[in-house]
Amino acid sequence: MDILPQLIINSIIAGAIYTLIALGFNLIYGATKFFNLAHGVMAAVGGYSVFYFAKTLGLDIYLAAVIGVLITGLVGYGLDRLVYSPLRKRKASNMVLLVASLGAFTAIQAIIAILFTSQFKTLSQGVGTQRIFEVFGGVITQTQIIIILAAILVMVGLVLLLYKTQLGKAVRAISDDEEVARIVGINTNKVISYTFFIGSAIAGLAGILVGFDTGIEPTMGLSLLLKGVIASIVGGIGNIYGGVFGAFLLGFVENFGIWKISGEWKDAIAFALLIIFLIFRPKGIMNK
Amino acid sequence: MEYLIHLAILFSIYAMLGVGLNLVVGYTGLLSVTHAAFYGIGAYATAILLTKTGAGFFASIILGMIVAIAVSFLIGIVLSKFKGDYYALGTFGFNTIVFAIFLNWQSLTRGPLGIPGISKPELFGINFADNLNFLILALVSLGLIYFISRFIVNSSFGRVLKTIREDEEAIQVFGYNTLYFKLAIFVISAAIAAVAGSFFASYITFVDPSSFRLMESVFILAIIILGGLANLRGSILGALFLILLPETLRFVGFPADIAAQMRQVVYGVILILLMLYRPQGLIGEYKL
Amino acid sequence: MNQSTKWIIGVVVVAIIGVVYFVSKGPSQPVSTEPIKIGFIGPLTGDAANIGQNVRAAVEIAVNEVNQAGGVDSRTLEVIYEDGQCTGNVASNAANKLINIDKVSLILGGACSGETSSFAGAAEQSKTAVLSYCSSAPAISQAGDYIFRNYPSDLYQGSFGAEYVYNKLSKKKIAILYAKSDWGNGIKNVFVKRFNELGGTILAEEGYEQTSRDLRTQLTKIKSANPELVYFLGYTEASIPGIKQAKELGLNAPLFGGDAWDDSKIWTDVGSAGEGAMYSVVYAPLNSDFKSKMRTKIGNDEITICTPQAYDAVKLIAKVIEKVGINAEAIKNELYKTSYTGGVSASEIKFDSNGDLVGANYIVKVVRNGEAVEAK
Repeated sequence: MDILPQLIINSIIAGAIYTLIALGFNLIYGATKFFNLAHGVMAAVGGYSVFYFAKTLGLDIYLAAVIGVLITGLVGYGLDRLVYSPLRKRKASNMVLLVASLGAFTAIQAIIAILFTSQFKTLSQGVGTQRIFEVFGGVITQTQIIIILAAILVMVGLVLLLYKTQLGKAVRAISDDEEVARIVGINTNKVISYTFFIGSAIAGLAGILVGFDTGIEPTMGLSLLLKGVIASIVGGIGNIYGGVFGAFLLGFVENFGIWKISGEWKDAIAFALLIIFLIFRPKGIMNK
Repeated sequence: MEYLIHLAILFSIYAMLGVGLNLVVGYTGLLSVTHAAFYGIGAYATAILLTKTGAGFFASIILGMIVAIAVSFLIGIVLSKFKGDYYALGTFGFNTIVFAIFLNWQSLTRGPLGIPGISKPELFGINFADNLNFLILALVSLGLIYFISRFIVNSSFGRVLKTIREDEEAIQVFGYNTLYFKLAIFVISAAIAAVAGSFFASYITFVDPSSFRLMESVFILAIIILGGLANLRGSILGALFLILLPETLRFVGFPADIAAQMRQVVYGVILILLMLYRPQGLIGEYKL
Repeated sequence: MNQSTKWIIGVVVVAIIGVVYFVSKGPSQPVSTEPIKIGFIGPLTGDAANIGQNVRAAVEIAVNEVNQAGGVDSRTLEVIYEDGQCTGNVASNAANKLINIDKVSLILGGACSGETSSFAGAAEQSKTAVLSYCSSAPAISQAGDYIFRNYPSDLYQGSFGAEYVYNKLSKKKIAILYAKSDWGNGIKNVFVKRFNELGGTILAEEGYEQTSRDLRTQLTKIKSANPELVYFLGYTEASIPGIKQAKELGLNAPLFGGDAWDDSKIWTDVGSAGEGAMYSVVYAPLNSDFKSKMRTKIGNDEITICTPQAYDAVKLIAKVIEKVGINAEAIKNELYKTSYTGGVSASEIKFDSNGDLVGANYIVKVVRNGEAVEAK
């Protein structure tokens, strides 16, 4: 069973990536109560921004990463201002928002493909491989460690934001009841736009890290999005801790599942998990 | 001229898909994004039957419909527990699972290798390799499906569907078993999609799982939203529009690769614009 | 219908009429001084794009030379290039367009076996000749009467690989990592059969989707089987991350690949992770004349696999059409009788009764310092 340590490590890495996606997704869902499917393509936006700044323009890699995260946040913010806000103003139903987000997802993904071609690209510097570390019989690379650290840091950061800052308080108020929050005087539209910025930025970060770990291609968003959605629902939609829990659960189920079953069933296994939860426990494991 | 016939055949196939999906989304109000799964079932039924056995095209249509009915019945039962955007998510899940089956049940579908060499229909000695004849057959099929659908929506069955869309609880009070109605229309819609799939398989002569991913379901949804929900003629109009539009791009002179992506951008932007400014589509009668 | 609806329908109708107008201004009927058109399908983008673009350059050189020498029957030879993206779906659509709309009598292509397999049936049904310059899957031998290839079937490559690994490299217990595609499955099956016949053991067999870029799950399983060597059948775009991930996971067994690895893009990109990797590839004699023409055209020395075959294929086709005209059936019959010598891909090109290239000559290359050289 000497494959076990590696499986566990792979599960944790997957869980960390899904966590990043789920955190942003949950944040946005909490504030707006709709499934923002464009969230997935934000990962691609982040990844490709870094590709452009680091590889095409030759900027320092950390600077490029920061720019990438900011750009993604802006795209998310812009999407809210241009599309979702107006729709919310006229009380559009959740399904309308979902379809609009689907449209945004499709369009942005295609624009990325036009600008950068559909070819798979890697973000890693130079050629060859990176530093690897042996851990309990398994192997992990430097980038993967960064992914796990990032997930932890972002989660902690988000919790601090939500519970220790004014903005966070406003976000929580809106999540509880938007009407009341508005009555109390919170500028709900502005706060919601900020959550889009933050949530999308986190997704962008996820995309950048995946880019370093494996690589980027325009269609990377869909798979990540679906995993993020599954993680959020399984863990408890709208609940930060739930999203994290769901993400790691998903990471483990996927990786241990394909140990015995062939790897291509990964997505199907993930969705089967989703459906089971939707049937039996739609509020997820940790309800609010 | 040949090219026009080619476009017309594609149009017929997508019009069939659109009409079928509209029954579920437009008339019954169920946001189903898994239509490509049934489309694929029909296509694979035809592909497998025509290449592995001596069975004819029309027999394969029947087989495709039967399998689609069985699968949609099961899926429909599970989906009946979900509401609104959770329903949509559930359908995403099913589309992904069915896609994974196409991809991984390799002894049946040859997985990613696809099934090539599918022959054309044979009937009364008419040569269907001549695309014009094939087009006429497809249009006849479209016509049949259109009239059957019109009959359904104008009947009392159809009225119940519309009421379910507007206020499901109200009609339940009157003793209607809404589950039965929702399941029935879902199954009928799936059977129609399978027919379209059979035509697709025979026309393109090659099927592989990549034609039946989630994005394809989104595209079909875009057709009916554009054309107008709850309006069958609208679905036909939507199909016409969305098939022809990319062709005009071709003449603007984009290289082939970019043209395909531009098409996606256009679809995405159309969806957004529709949701913002005209959620009932071109000639629809129902807004999401 | 209200007023705005009428407007909308009106706009749509006008749009349709517009498209009809433009489309009907399409290509006019061919006349005997019009250029001779053949179709080309290759991976101009996607998985094996480097190879596809290299091939296209060679085809363009060949077409140019044919036309400079007076063309075919005093008519210009013209190639309609379509992108196959190394995918069945896309290649099939490309072929449909070439067959039904451009109405070519012959298609030069595809490169990837998945491309050719997807449209061979349609070509056969419509009686269009197909000459693939690169597809090697064994199943294509039975693809049809009209289907030819001047690239050897992997029946040879799989056996060659098995024998080399077992006998020359003395690796008896190995693992296989392969792309699930016509090409990957094809070689893998032949290899497995031969390797087992020789007495070898295959400890693990892991397949992956051609579009997959994360092979760590498969590599983890392979690593735990502790093989002496990994037979890795992948195209460029998956091999690059795959080779890196293998090293990252600490899988240090030597790697042995197939002819798709004859693409410098892989070795430049993986750097030191590729050191010592080996692969089997068809031997093409080339000649300095061809090399300098390619260098002039593309500005560097790269000649990937299939490029010599594509070059020869164009010249070969030009000769055949000159002899029997552009009727596909005549071309097909003539191809069975053809013997083409003096090419850059092989000393003689002949087709057997299946339309397969007769004879196959493989060598093994090893990667040293980012460059592949012939292994001695």
